[in-house]
Parts: sequence; C-alpha cells; structure tokens
Amino acid sequence: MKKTNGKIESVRRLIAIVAVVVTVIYLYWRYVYTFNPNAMFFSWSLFGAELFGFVTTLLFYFSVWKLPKREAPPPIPGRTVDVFIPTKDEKVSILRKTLLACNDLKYPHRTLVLDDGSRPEVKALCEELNCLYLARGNNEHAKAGNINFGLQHSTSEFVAVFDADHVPLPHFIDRLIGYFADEKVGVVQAPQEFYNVDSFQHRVDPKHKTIWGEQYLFFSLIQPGRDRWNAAYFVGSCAMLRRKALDEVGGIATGSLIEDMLTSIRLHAKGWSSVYHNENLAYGIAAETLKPFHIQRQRWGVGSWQVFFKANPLFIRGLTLPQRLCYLSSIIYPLEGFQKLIFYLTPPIALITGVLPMRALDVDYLMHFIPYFAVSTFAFNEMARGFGGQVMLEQFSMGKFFTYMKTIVVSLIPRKGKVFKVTPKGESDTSYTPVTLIIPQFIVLFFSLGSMVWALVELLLGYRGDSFVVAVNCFWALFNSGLALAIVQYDYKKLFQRRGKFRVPDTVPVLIQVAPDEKAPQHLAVADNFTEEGLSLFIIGQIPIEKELQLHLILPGKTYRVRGQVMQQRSVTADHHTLSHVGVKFSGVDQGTKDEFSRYIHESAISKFMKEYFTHYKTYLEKRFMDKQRFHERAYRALAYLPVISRAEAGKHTYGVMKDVSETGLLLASRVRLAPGSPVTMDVILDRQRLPLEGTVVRDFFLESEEFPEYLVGVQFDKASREKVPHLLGIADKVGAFLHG
Amino acid sequence: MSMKKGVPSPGRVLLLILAYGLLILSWHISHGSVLTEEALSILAGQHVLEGKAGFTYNGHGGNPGNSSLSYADPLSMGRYGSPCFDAPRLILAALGDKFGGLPGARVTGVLSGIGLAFVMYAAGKILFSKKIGLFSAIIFIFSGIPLYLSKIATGDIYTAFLLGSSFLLILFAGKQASSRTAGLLLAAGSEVLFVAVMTRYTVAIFGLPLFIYVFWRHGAVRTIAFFLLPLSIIAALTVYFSLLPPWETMLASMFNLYRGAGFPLDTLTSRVLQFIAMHYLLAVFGMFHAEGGRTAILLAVLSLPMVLLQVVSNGSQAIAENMIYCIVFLTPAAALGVDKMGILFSTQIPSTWVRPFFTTAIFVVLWVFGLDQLRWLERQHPDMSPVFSFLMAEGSRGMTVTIGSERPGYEHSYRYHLERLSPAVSRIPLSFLTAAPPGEQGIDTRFELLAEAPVNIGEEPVMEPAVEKRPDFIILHEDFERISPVSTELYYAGQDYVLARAFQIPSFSGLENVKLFKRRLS
Repeated sequence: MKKTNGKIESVRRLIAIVAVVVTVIYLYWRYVYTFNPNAMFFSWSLFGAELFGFVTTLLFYFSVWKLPKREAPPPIPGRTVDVFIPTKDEKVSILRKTLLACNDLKYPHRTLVLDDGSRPEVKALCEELNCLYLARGNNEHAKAGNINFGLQHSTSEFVAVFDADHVPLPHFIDRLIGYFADEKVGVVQAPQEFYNVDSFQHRVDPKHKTIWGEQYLFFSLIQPGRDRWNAAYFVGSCAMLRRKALDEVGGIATGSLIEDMLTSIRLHAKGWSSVYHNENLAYGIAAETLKPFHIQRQRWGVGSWQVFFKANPLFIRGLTLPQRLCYLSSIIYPLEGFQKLIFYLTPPIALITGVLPMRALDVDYLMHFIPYFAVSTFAFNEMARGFGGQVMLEQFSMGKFFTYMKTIVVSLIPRKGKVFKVTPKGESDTSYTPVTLIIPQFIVLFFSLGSMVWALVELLLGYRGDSFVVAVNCFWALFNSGLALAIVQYDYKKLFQRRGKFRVPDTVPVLIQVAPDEKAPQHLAVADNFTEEGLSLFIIGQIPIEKELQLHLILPGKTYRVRGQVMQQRSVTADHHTLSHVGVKFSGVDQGTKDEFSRYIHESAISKFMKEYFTHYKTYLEKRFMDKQRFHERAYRALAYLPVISRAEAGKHTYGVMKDVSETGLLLASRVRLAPGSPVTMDVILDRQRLPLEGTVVRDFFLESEEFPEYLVGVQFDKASREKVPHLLGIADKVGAFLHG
Repeated sequence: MSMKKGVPSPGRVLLLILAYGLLILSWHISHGSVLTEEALSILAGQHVLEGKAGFTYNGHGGNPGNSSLSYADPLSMGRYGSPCFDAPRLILAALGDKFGGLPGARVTGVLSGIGLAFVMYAAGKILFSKKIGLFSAIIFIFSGIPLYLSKIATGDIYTAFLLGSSFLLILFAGKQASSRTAGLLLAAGSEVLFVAVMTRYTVAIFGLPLFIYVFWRHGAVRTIAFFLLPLSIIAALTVYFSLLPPWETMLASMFNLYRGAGFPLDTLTSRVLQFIAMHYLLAVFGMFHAEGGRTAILLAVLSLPMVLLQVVSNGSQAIAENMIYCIVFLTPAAALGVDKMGILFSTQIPSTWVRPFFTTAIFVVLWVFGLDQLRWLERQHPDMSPVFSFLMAEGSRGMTVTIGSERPGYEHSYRYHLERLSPAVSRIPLSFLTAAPPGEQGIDTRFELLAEAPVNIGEEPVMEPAVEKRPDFIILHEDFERISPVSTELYYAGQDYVLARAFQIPSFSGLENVKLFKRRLS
C-alpha cells in the first residue's frame, strides 16, 4: 500500500462526510420539490437511480474509510503447500507459462494441474514439467468442483490457487505464507494483476507512463479497505487457503458462479479471518475484448444474484455488520445496469418529448445540482485515492450496463444445464466481439445523437422555446454518446489489431548481424518489446523486409543467440538519421530457449514494466498538500531508448540502454551494478557513430529479480559531456516522438 | 499551439469567426422599430453634430434599462453639463442614421460587437492559448446577449467593448518584460476603465476587483503609480467639474429607486442567471480544466460583482444589458470549459477526430441556444412599426402629439419617427404630468397641466400658447402590463377626442395596447 499522509487521509474523510451531508440535502430537496407531477414514473425513475448511486457510494466510503498498511511477515518454514491450477479449455501454451513459473516458486511445494478438459496434451505437459495431473472426468460444480476434487487428492496444510493464465512470481508463497502464523487466518489473497495492458479493460498512456485498469479500484483500494473490516475476500486466483478452514466449510462452495465469494462468506461466518496482501505477486491475462469481458462480467453478475438469493450476507449468521455491508456492496452492483440505463435514456426522452423528470431544469435546479455533483465527485475522487478515474469508470459502466441487466433476467429464469463459461483469454479465436454485443451501446449512441439533432432543429425552427433545457440535455446526451462511442471504438480497434499477442515492453540491448554472413559487422540496437515468438527493434538505419538476421539478445545474466526474419518496418527521417521500428519474428528457436524467454518475461520484464508505469493518478489533495519533494518538477527528459556501451572504473564494458536523457544526466538500464559515486564512461550508439559521454553515478535501483539482475542507474554528466548533450537531446526527442507517438 | 497540416492558422480561423460575426450581426439589422435608447442615442448625436448649445444628452439618462445604480447616473442630469464620454458612439450613430437610417445607426453596435469579439480572442489567448482564444471569440459571437446588443444602436455593447479593452490592456501588461511598457499599459487600462464607467455607471462595480487583480499581479508600487494614480486624477477632475454639482440629486435618485424596487430575491436571481447561466455552466467545466482551471475560477469571481449588484440593488430592469459585462469576463472561462467538455465527452478515445467532433457538437448546441436567446431578446421590445406607419399616414406637417405612458422614454421613439414626417411636429409628453402627489393626481389635473408641459426634453420648460393645449393626437401606450393611461381613454373619448386606431402589439408579456386618439374637428 502506498504510504499516505495522515493529514490528507483525515481531510479526505471530512470531505466524504460533507459530501454525504450535501447529497442527503440534495436528495431531500429533489424528493420534496422537484418531482414532475405530470411524469411521476419518469421522476421516480431518475430519483431512484440517484438514490441507488448514493447507497453504493455510501457503501464504497464505508469500505475504503481507512486503509491498513500490511508488511509481509517472514515465511513460516516447513509447511506443506500444494499449488492448484484448475483448467478446462485454456490453451496449453498459456498453461505452460504458468507451470514453468510454478516450478520456479521458491517455497517447497507440489504443483497439481486440475484439468476439467481431460486433455492428453495437458497430461503430457505435466509429465514434461514434472507437475501432477488430475482429471475427474466430469465438470460438476465447475471450478469449485474441480478445486474440491483437487482437495480430495491433497493432504497439504495450505493450498495456493491460480487460474491457468496467472503466472506467479518466484516469491509468491514466501510472501503470503507468513500470515498463516495467525491460526485464525483462513485465506490470504493477493491482487490479480494483468500484464496485457492492450486489453479491453486497460487504457495506457505511454507518453505519461500511466495505466488505468478497470479492476485497479477493486484490487488496489476496495480489497485493502475491506481488509480493515476483515471482509477482504477470496477471488478465485492468486490466493492461499488454509486446508483446515476449507474443510470446516465443506471445501470450496458450490451453487454459485462466484464460488470464491460464497466460500469467503462461509469462512467469515465460521469466524475465520481473511488477509489481503496488496503486492503484485502474479500476472495474468485480462479479458482482451468485449466478448470475454461480457462473459466474465455476466458470470460474476449472475453469481452475485445467486449469492443474494441463496446466501444473502445480510441474513447469514456469524458475520459482523461491516462484513455484511461489504458483501452487500459486492452483490448489489449489477443493479447499476438499470441505474445507468435511466441515465442514458433521460436526455433523449427529454429532448424528443420535452417531458422532464423534474418540474423544471432551470437555473434553480442547476444551483442545487452543481454543488452536489461537484462535492460528491471531488469526494469520490479523493476517497478513491487516485484509482477512481471517474470518466473511465463511466465508460466501463457503459460497456457493462446491458450485461448487468441481463444477469438479473438470466438469474430469474430457471434454465437446465447452465454451463460455467470460462473467460476466453490469450489469443483465443473466440475473443472477437460479435456486433450483437455492442448493439446496446450503438442504440445509446444513435438515440442520444439523434434526439439532439431533433431538439436542436426544433429549437432552430422555433417549434419549442425551452432552449436551456435542450442545451443541458444535449450536453448530457453528448457525454453519454462519448461513453458509447468509446466502447464501440475500442472494440472496433481490437477487432482489426494485427498483433495476436501482447508484447511486453522492455529495453533489451541486441547485437544484430545480417545472416547468414557470420563475418558481417554487428550493430547494437534496442528491442523495445518482445515475446517468445519475436521482438520489435528500434534501430537508426533500415533493414530490408524479409531479411534474415542473427540476433544476440543480451538479457540480464545471459545472452541468447537466435535467428529472426524482418516482418515489417516503419521508418522516419529525423536530423539526417533514419529511425526505424522493425518487427522481427524468431525462427528455429527451440522449446528450451522459448521457456527461458517465457521465464524472463514473466519473472522480470513484466514486473519491470508494471513498475515503470503509474497505475494511480495524483488526487487534488495529494498534488496540493503532499511533500513537495515527492512531486517536485523534474527537468525536461526526453524518453528515448538508445543503446549504450558503458565502462565502470574497472574498465570492463557492458551493454545497456539509455531510458531517458536530460541536460544534466541520463537514466541507464544496466546489466551490472554501478555504485553511486563511481565514475562511468559511456558510448551512446547513434547509427554508426558513437557519442562518448562521461559522468558520475548518482543513484541506482536493483530491479528485483534475482535470476535476471538488472539495475537502473542515474548518471550525472560531467562538464565536458554536458556540451554534447544538446545534440543528443535533439535526437532523443525525435526518437521519443517516433517510439511513443 | 502548433498547428497541424491542413488545419488553418489561428489568424485565418479568427478572420472566419469575425466574418461570421459580421454576417450574423448584419442579418436582419433593421429588425423591429427603433428602441427608446436608440432614439436617444441618435437624437443626442444629432445635437452634437448640429452644435446645439447646452448639449443635453450625456449618455443614457432616459434609459430605463439599467439597474438602480445606473438610474442615479449623474450624466443623465443634463442641465449641469458634463464631459460626454459617449460622444464618439453618439456621433457615429447619428451619422449612420443620416446616411443609412436606423440600420446605419445600428452599425455602431456591430462595430463594437466585432471589436469585442476580437478582444475576447485576445484575452483568451493571453490567459490560456490561441485555441482557447478562438473558442472565446466563437462563444462570444454565438451568445444571445452580445448578438442582441450588437444589433442595436445603444451604448451597452460600446461600454462592454471599453471594459473588455481595459481588461485586455491589464492582461497584456502582465505579459510584458519591460516594467515601463507594463506601466504604460496599466495606465491605459485604468483610463479606458474610467471611460467605460462614465459611459455606464454600473461598470464602476468592476473597479475594486480589477484593482485587486492588478495589485495581485503587479504589486503595490506599480499598481499605485500606474493604475490608481491615473485613475484618481481623471476621476477627481470629472467629479469636481461634472459630478459634484448634481450629487444630492444623484443620491436621491438612487435611494428613491432602491425604495421603489421590490422583487423577490429568487425571482431576481433567476432573471439574472437566465442570461448568463450557460456561461457560468461552461465556466464551471473550465474550473476543472487541468491547465488554467484556477484562472477560470478567477474570471468567474471577476464577473460576480455585477450579478451581486443586480441582486442587491433589487433592480429588475436592464438585466440583459448589465449581464454583458459579466460575459466579458466569463467568456474566456467558458471557452476553457468548452475545451474541458470536449476532453470529457471524448472520454479519452485515442482517435484524432473524436475530440474535434464533440467540441464542434458543443458549439452547435451553443449556436442554436444563442440564436434562440437572440430571438427571445428581440421579442422583448415590441415592434411599434404599425403605429408609426399609421401616424405617418394620418399625420400632417406641424401637428401636435401627446404621448401617455407609464414608461418614461417612449416619447423619444415616437419623436424619432415623427421627425421623419416633419421636424416641426411638437410633442407634449403626458408622462411628465404624472408627477403630482398621490391623491391629487387625476385625469382633470393632468389635463389642466397639459398646457404647461415642456415641449422638448432637457430644454427649459416653455409655456405653450393656449391654442396648443389640445394636441392633434394623443397616444396612450401601455407598458409591461402596468396600469397605464390607456385607462383614461374613456375620458378623452368623452371630450374632444375620438379613437382613431387601437393597436395590439405583441411583446414578451403578451399584448401591449396602444390607442391613438385624434382631436375632433371643430
């Protein structure tokens, strides 16, 4: 958990209280004075939607009122742990990465693959990677039944559960198992982080190095907040459970599509505690397009209603009041679908019919609405601690509203043989979105824009005189149109994305040589992202398409020699240099090397990349009142990846990558440690030229992975080198613009 | 702001905006009949051009369309004489009228309006960026009140132009590296502000916030030396030579009006915000803009004094006219708000066309809203053309006319039109006769006093010969549904007059009754 200033937290809570009071006053005023007697249904609908928003906001404030700060306790040695990987129809290539990572888990354990698909290729994979394979031959109770089957074949004290696409870091168990020293702890949950940030549920800004994820609010804020109330719950993956606790509640709960939450409710009701350890310890694959997203959210929504009707936390014995409230907020959220529908339909109805869900949409109304809206938005953003992103949340509400509405219908209509649908992930052929899935958004888009045009034409022709009402509703309709358009656009973009697999951004020095000429000169370049199948190179110069290359990938700790072929190239000319981005596909790479690449990517590159990006923005209070040193304005830095050959005092040279450069220094990704205070000599490679620079190391950071050691080194230029910097900055600016748009 | 390929330069876009402004302001410029204040402006301008001694119109004394403080405008006390800061506009109006009739006179408004649109661009550019400057100009030229006031020959838009120019000079001073240039610009800004105040007294309300702004931006020494001192000198001279003599009259006028007004606060607030709610709504979005949100707050605060004055003074008239001064400050903030709304509505969709699309859509809404507001404002003033046409057709050279209305000033509109027929037409304003104490004021009283009415406003009362006691026409004009002398029609009908024609003129409050009585031929 990010350290937060205590005073800011107090101010936040005060603002939240003010917002609640203001909202109560506003809602009272709405109820008493504003209902349109000629449109009572319409009035009640909008009021009901606002009221629902208030209730969910109250529950949200309650959940995140205070955030605990947890430090992982030291691991308790000598315990038995089984790692369960339930799977059904996920691709073997995806499962392979997870199993490779499970084998790298440092804490002694067994890995059990629970294959509900009973697939021979999975069995073969398990044999190859020395994992235990279990298949029960039926799919009864879906994932819950599968894990319970695993429990029947396990005698370990603890089980760790990962979805097939969740690749754990080597220290996963070490970080979590210490919490079980407290005998009351039944489950320890870590966040579910996803690395494919080009997915439907992520928004990335490479220029400002920010990522917004739809689930960050839940995993980075709501779960830690609930942890304080002992109400953080098991989310089906990236968690460890105590066998004894599971046995006490009859194993993983069945009878709901969200078996994880139901299990947690039962554990809490029996007096077991839960812990949420807020550190990314595994990386998975997020739903890539709207279709898997829809499948996943529909399953969660239906599951919520199943819990609501069958094991309503308000009435189950043994839960504390805070636990009941936290669970309540987790199961009523699909109602948001109806709330949003009302918000989407109100402006078009008002624009077309002239009927309003209030007596008048006039200055008086706005004078009540604007302060309420401003205060509650401000309070929400502060209480969301920088994970809110309200516009983004609204965008995803637009993407989900119909799905959520469907969940209620699906839950109420009894159907035989309901099938547990696994969320399709990772290059799945079924992940494209049929147009039918975005019809609701299309309808909102065209209805909103169409009603706007209608009302404006009427106003222009003098057929109506409610210009202020029209204008305000037009703005609202435009906002809704923007939300709908975003969903349609992202899905459309994803549909035509050529790249099948997410390439993890990284900066790897690569020596390239045109094959098959072994004596051909080698050029130093930088790979700015790569997968097990290929990479993309940034070079100053050009390489013909389809050209065969010999590549020396200088990964931390080891260099790999592979062949590749240029598949595509994008070039621009800047300052007499040709800058090219070259897509290279590996050829003839053996499985062992691919596995090594996979391990590097998942155990090092992804962590580095995720740490390089900000997943939360600074709230107003943070910007305004937090220690200025933490947010002081930095000198301008050009983000540009250029290869560097560096030499420390000992004289041994090493390859690295310049990550950014300013007038006074640069940031170097180095394969060896350069101690602060030591002098360093660097050659920045620009095409066939070398730009020699000298400086002093001012700081260094070790990038976590022990097996793939890498350092981020801050170098301050000496006086002579600073004179050369303007030239470098000029090129770096061009490179940065080329790479990051 | 760097301009992409294929995108016209800001200068060209600005020219397009101003060209559109010129087009929309020229469109249907001859709408309706002359307004009272227009008639006053043109007639006063004529006086200046004719070099009449004892120039009597110094601004807008008869303007009923101002808040209570403006009623107290000492410049309306024509008999004392005062420097006429309005003169350039009045002369232009008179010249325009001479060569182009009423549309010609209205060109003064068009010029001020276009000038102010440019000022809005420049203010937006200085405060934010070229893009926001262009947005400011567009919002201004799309807004109902600026359009309405720029299409008529009254002084409001002229004053707004002066106020805007003063603000621009102050902003420009803040951008100067040289303290001498900054000082000169500040001094110019203070002088222009004073001129603006003298042309419309209510603008004085912006003096204090602008002083605070200058103090905050430039520090005490420069503010005192280059802003306060020039302002004090010109103000002292004007007060001594022009304002001090009518001081008591002015104060009495203020208090009388304050006592007379009595609108409920919420009604008054609604009326005020009716004209600027959209600008404030957009400005609120501007306040949340990552770049310049604080400046938007500052601009909104600068605009507030006029709203407060209007509400506190209880003045219910000329709200639209006074709100143009708020718009001068609010427009750049509203422009920033449009930019913020564009960002918000495009919900971070990474396509180059999305944000321009939504921004354009917002402007389309504002355009339609502005045109509708313009139409509404134009409907506020009844079109008296049928009445004038009737008088022109039925009247004759040398006829005498009496106008009876609760609204002081209608006579100027009649006068403007009747003088087209014959400069020799005499007017005996009946409204001047209603000043008798309550209880004593009756039809008989009025009629008896008729003979003693002055024939020309502002001139020393002249006793009319007895034969002129009975005018040829009596016009009884109802105003804003208030009890009007129209109720006296039966009396006149029973005397020597016969109802020649009754008109029902559509106005925002329904139908206004105008009845024309003609003297019986003896």
